Amino acid sequence: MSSEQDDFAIQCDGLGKAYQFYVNYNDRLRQVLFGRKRKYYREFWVLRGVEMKVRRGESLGIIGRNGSGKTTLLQIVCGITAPTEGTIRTHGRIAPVLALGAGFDYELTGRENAKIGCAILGLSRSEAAERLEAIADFAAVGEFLDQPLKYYSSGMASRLAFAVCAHVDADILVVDEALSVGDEAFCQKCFKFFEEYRKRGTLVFVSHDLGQVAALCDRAVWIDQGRVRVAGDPAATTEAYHEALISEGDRVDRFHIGP
Amino acid sequence: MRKVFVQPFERAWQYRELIQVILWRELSVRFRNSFFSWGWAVAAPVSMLVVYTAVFSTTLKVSTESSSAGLGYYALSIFAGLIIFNLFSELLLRAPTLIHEHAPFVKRSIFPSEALAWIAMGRALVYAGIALVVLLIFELIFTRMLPWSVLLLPMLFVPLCLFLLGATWFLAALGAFTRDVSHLFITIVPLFLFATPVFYSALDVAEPVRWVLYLNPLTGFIEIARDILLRGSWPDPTTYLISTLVAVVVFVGGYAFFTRYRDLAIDVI
Repeated sequence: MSSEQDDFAIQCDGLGKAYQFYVNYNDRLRQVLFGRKRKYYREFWVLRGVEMKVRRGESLGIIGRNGSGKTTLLQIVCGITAPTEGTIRTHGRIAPVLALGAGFDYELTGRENAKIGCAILGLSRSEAAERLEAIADFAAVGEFLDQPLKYYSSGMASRLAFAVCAHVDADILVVDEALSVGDEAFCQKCFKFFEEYRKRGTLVFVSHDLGQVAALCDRAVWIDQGRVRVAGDPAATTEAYHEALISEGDRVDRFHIGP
Repeated sequence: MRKVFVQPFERAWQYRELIQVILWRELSVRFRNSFFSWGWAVAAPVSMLVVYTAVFSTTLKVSTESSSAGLGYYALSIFAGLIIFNLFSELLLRAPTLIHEHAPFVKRSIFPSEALAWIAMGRALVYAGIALVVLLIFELIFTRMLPWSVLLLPMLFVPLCLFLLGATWFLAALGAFTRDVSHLFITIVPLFLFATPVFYSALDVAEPVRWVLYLNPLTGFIEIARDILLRGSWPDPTTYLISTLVAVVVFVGGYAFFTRYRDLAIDVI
């Protein structure tokens, strides 16, 4: 392995993802059964030609409008979904925080859910057991920790979920709009966590809070309709994005399927 | 060869802790918030067996093979059949919706989707295991001793599990693309209760047409179970060989199908 490769935590080359859209539901089955002969779907390119490199230890902010392909990009980075074209290479253990509390069960207690959350994020049982106290401290849900999750407020559940994510040691932390939950005090705590984390790991961070992106990231990428529109200095990128938001407005023709 | 025979086990071993934790989650949710909790898991098979014994040892005598063997035996024979049948039906009814059910796992976290089949099978096996213990206890009460062939149970479960895993993988991948698979199984599984020798034995069916019954993969497994658990003999070699062969084919084919379509499946759910 060359040293140049070693420097990068994430390397995307000409990355593209097409989802298949079907006119009617049965075509989907036909595609599986007879897909070799013809296509029963229309392709929708969520991402196309994305070049992105993230250095080891770098914090990258990803901004863009709804439906621009941010989450899909994160899913590809995490290996959850496969790219249709192009290549992706990652180095190191990835912890995805794409949805807070993915896999939580509302009948189980907070403590039990924390254990499951750790397992899903790739911790062994002994590692999870070691960290449970620290997770409980961070979440600060008090006696609710041993109550079923269904009695939690949504903010409390998110606190617990974030606390779990904050305690897996990942080389690359991939976060999708996680800071929009919780009260001001908890957001501060999360923010502080990210500041700390930046010193030891690589962070990829999607947010609609441009201030946060500017404050937390070394570099920002603006994704627009599946392509990188601007990349570089976070202040300049968020500025350009903000101006475009105002001048382009919110029009219905942004969402269209097809080439 | 390696890819289809060794890889599924290697990967399951790699994810064993995750499989354990999620299995534990599913099991512990089941009887939570009930006073008798796991008592219910035992109560269901016990009450079923008591009723079968009462009904089938007095009035209804459908099977000549089993009922000639004495009181209680017929009920045990039905019960052995039902354990296998319920194991199949729980998994096959659930498999088509398995990926839908775990969408947050497979779409929002790095989750090995193939582990879902192991978890689902684990859960079904736990219930089958409880029922099996109940069966053995009743057999001990009825006959005062257990046949030596009970020790051969792993011989039954190895091909049985291979079959179930393969079928679950296949149906889970297919079910992600169309809900019809799920509806199909909801429709035909109850019918299969009668096309399967649960309330009768394959030996009750006249020799010339008996092979038709064996087209149903459950028949082989149920008769193997009865040989081992009740008749106290080695399983019939032909039945055993064919069942094992079918199981291996289903396992390999199911895994290959699943690995081929899982990426697409995750995109469409």
